[in-house]
Amino acid sequence: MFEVKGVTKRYGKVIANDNISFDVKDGEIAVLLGPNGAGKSTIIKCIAGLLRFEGEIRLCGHPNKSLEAKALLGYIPEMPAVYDLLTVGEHMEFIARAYQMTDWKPYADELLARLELTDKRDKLGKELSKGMQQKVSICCALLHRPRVVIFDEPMVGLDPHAIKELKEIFLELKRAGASVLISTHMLDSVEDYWDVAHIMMNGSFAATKFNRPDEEGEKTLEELFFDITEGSGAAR
Amino acid sequence: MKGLGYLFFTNLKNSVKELVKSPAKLITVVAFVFLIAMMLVSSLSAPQTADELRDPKELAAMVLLLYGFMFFLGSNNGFSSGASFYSMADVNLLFSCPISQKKILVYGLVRQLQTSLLLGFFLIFQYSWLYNTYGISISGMLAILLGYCLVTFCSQLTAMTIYSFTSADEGRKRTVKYALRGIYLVLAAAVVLPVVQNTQDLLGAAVESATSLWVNFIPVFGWLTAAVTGVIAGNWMMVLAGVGATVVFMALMLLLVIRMHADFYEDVLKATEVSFSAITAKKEGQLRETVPKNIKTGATGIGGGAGASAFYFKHKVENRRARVFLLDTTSLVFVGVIWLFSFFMRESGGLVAVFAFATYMQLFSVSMGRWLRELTLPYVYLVPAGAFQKLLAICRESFLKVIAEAVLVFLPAGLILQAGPITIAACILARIGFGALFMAGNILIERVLGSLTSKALILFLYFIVLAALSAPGVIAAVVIGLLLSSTALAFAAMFVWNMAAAALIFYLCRDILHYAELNNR
Repeated sequence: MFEVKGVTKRYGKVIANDNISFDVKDGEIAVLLGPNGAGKSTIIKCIAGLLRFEGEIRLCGHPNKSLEAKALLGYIPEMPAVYDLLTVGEHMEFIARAYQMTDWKPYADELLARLELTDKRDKLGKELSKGMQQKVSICCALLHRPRVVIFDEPMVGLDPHAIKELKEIFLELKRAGASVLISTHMLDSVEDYWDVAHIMMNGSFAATKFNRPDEEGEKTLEELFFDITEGSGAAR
Repeated sequence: MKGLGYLFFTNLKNSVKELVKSPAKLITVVAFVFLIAMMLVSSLSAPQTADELRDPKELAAMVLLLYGFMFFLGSNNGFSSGASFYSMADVNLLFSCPISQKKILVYGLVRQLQTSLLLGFFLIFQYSWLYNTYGISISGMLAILLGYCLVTFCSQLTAMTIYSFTSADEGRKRTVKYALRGIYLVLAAAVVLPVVQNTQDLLGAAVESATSLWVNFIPVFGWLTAAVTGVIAGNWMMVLAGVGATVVFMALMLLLVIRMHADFYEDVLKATEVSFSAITAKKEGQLRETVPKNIKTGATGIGGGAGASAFYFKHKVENRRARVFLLDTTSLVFVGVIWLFSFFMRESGGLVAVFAFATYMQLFSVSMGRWLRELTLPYVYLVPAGAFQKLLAICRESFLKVIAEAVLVFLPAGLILQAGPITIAACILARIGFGALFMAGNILIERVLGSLTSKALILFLYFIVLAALSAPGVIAAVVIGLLLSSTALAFAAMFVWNMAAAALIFYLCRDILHYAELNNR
């Protein structure tokens, strides 16, 4: 699991995240929703240890910048992060070496096959389309079997097959007990599998909704989202 | 044309407004204007006598070299992507508007002229020494500036013509490419051959050769050099002929573009997409390196490393693919320039002057290391290894490069300058010391100013910090050099200070990867 306690992130006078607290338990999928500029990517980068912040973030009990936490984290950035001069296969080898993994090849092969990258194994990063670079990013983040996985707009640029496969991966991670956080604009892409949704506005949480299909009379995620972002509804 | 006029002037107005809103940019512009004003005032108030001035032909030769180089570089773009006059927004919004293509072409050209003018402003900073060395007037300086803008503009127009003419046919592209390069080689040979024959006075022979009458007839850069020398010498016939020929050339190129491709949108679209992706990458903080167009993948596999050291082995693979054997192309060019400088300084035996010049160039080459590129991607922050270990691992390749560069620069330079072996060794060590110090300075800047987003401010502070860090070593070297009359000991003093300072900074910033921010600079 991971916990975010009272996190505030400022860029000069601009407050990108204002005193945010939440947690994602083992085997839980949380989604971050919100309009552009709401602060979703900022909180994700804070959790990934890429930004300085005020407050506390712990991954499975370890401070997020500790080596223990880093070993447990998988992060898929919004912009695909690939090295121009490494082949797809070398990206896998590099991650395996950097995370000091043994016997990583079968799982690397499996990930590449699932995201239809097997025949691209010897292609250089710069030769890949943006969608394929995103797939490489996903494989790199999952290779070391992280316990906490954070996806920042993972569907952007992916083809329908990859989106289907990625949704399957989300559920597998959940079944394996990982804590998954997904930031997205695409409400329909998360419809079927989220456990908890946080709707962000102006750097803080405007609403949190749990996925309880049996609760009658409750607003759907989409209704709640538009109520909040279009200004007519109240946060729950 | 109303829509285009509105777009042009609104863009102009908004960029001025943006300037007022952004203090860092405003300070840069004010400082820039102030520097120009100070330079003009101080130059003009300094008395100057005609017998102190150098031969104005040297100036003409330099102008020719600059214009020729710019024209070659600019027109060469036509073989790759085609230089683009438009932004991605122009392509998406303007090209689909019911406005005539010719008007849109004129709009693009006017915009490009604006960019060329801005590029040329760095030339104004040369006024002070040009005035003191060649007695050049303000009108002469403006003529050089205007000539520069025209050369840049014509080179881009030529690139567009080349692109339109060759983009659809690989064979034609190859023919034009080799023909143009052949012409350049013949021209270069025609200038260089007479110089080789006169080894007594290389500089004099080079100047004489570059200012021969026939040079004035070379299209664009020859014509414009003639026009500029015409302004300086008051020969208005030359000015008229040079500018006239250039105007005819521009009209011809424009006509060719319009005639050859009634539909130039397709060509522009591809060129704009290429430059747009480069700009976007830069905005997103990805430092793209210049890699060969066709990369030979060769053997695959990282081949070594575990934990932090995997970064070093990855850098080795990347270097091989980028065809970098120890030094990249830019560094090799720098090395060549320093050798050339040493060659010209060989009579005055100025090893110290060559060292100072080489160190100034090193400021730029050090900041291009692969480790800086590593900071723009998330992996180095995510990998579970100690922050200091990762810092050392990502800097290892750059440090080896610093050592190789020091040997490659000063072994030949020292021999050219007839320095003794101990002095050469001390000089190499001092260069390594500066390399280490500059790398440490870069790390310090990242550590302290990592969250700043103003590139201009960071660059400004970068130079200030590096100057401050180097100062004690330079002072110690001067004092020791004067007291003990030993260049070798002076270099050694610099080495000791620089290495000690670099080690201290590395130690103090050992946790940079723990605290650094992956921002979108």
